[in-house]
Amino acid sequence: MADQANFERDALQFAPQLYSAALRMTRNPTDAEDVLQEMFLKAYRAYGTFEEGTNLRAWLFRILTNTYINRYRKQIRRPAEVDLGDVEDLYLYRRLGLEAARDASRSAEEEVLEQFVDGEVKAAVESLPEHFRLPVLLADVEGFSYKEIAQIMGIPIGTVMSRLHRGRKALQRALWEFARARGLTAGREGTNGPSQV
Amino acid sequence: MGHRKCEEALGRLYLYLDGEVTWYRRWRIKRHLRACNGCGPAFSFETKFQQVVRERLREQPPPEMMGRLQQFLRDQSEGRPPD
Repeated sequence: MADQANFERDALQFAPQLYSAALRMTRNPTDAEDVLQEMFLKAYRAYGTFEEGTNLRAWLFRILTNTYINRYRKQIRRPAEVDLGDVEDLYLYRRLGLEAARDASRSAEEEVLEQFVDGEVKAAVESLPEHFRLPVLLADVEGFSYKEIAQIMGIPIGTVMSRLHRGRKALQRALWEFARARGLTAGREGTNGPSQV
Repeated sequence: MGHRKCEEALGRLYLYLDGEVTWYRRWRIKRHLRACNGCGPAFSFETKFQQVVRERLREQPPPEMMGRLQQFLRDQSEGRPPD
């Protein structure tokens, strides 16, 4: 069992990533700080029950997720059905016309991706409903395994996988919409994009 | 060409990128990606896409906030009964 006296030394190093995740969950810095502080208080009090040598980072993210969900339970709506019927795998890749242009220079794809600015990627992630947003954050930003995400969120691995898959599709679709709104897609409508009128 | 191998690879796109396939499957897919000019670029796009998402979403906390958090934790531990 871990010694509470070592909590600051052991846990504070994870505060930047926890803050970053809290910010994407709550969507604003004041709420993120509140969630983070409550989370650290809970973790400090429970630190005596943390089994040393197991995954501290995942343990802290679990507390963060629970704190967020409990605090915002009222605002977090029941999983709304998100219609992803027309969203295939490799959605962006195909829409951006990269599939057709695959013989062109490799830097074409980097060039396109670099055009997505910070604010757009953040807004796209924040537009996802909670049940998609959390798995996407935990996997794609924090690099947790499916098993770890299942433990953090308290859901079965199969559910993690399907939410992650659908969440990623929804994210790509949201980014595509941003790109289209900014006119980045001019002349880039892929072969699988909407048909020409 | 190699249609079944394309299906094997594309059907496991995310499992592969997430490191959730066995070493043998990983080896088979990797070998296919080197040979296939359909799947190779698609996988490389998704890899780069994930990198871009990660980079854009990481955010450094304001130093003042870190200071407040550290102080908060110190206050908690000072309120702790002595051993």
